[in-house]
Amino acid sequence: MLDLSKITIKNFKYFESLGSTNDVVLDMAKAGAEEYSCCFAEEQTKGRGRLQRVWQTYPYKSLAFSFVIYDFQEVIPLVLCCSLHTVLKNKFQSNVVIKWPNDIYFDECKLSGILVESYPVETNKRAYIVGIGLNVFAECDKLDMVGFLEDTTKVEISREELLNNLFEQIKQDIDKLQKNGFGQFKDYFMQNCLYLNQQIDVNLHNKVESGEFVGINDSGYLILKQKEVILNIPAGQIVQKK
Amino acid sequence: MTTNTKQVKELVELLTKNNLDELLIEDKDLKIHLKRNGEPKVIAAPAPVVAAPVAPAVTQTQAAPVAAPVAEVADESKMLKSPMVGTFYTKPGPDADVFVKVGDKVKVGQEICIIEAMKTMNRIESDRNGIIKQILLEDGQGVEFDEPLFIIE
Repeated sequence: MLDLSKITIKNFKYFESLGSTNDVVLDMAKAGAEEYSCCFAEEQTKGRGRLQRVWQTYPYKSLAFSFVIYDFQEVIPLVLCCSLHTVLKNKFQSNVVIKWPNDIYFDECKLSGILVESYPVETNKRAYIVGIGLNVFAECDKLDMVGFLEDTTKVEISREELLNNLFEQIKQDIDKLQKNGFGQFKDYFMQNCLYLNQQIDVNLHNKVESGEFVGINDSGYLILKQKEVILNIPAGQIVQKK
Repeated sequence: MTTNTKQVKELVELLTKNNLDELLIEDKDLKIHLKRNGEPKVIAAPAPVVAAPVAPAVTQTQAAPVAAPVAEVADESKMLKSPMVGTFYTKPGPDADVFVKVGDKVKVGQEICIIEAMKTMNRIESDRNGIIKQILLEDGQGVEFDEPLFIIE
């Protein structure tokens, strides 16, 4: 179990098991919860990713938490990814990489995913629910292509310390984004980005675009250089061209 | 203002010649809304400009086929429009049921679609009680800000 006496997050709700932390935080937001109110679960029975893909949470071995923000910019999912990468690399000396748009990978395995969902909570006010899943301690009974932080670092990991650090970094980075803009995050993202300057396929909803991944633009879109045109792609899934 | 087939054809030519996606003409008692079909999900810029400028709205790829423009008289009061640029989804996941279909009754606050923008899944709710008369986009199609999504009567 998480040692709650060591958690420094304000407005923190802890559950051993629930459906989805995003759903609980949405209810909190509808009831008027403050920004960064947070829900953590050891087990999610309905954990989900983009387009309702299943996100499996390994009980007592993972971090699965959600929080709410109201002041939102569309690049925030990429900034969150920079926050995760910063903490994992600098505090836990883990050689992880970012995969556009907002996943954390190590050695072709996914360690962490982020899902942002927005809902109207009042007239002209939307709540942005950020859900983050991070696999921490190794689990044998795992899905394919799943990685664990423990396998990427020699530093001893405390989930409480990791969670506190992540949360602080996220708040600092969103504050920095709002004051100084996306520029520094864009540079950081590209410096630590998987498949940059390589030939890739990008799976869109109903087709595949191929080309060279040359960077991201000021809106966080992936820039794909093709023979005749350059595409700026707002959403999709990257697959490395073999 | 009076209109006839010749005038509409001239407007269609204007749209095509200038490579416009949409043309809206309003007068006291007439509205003409011309729009080309397409998949405006990706913004194209001519190679080899690496740092392509960011367009506030998504535009059509150069290679996308140009479909024949369609003339329609729109009743804006019945339209539910997109609050953002993104990708339109009629269901929460690939294997899930659609939120709504034509003929369904909807209530204020009922979720009726998702628009994905930069990996943020935005749940869009109906702003009125009524019946879904038309769903104006396909699942997975790109959508512009203020573009009509549904006709609800």
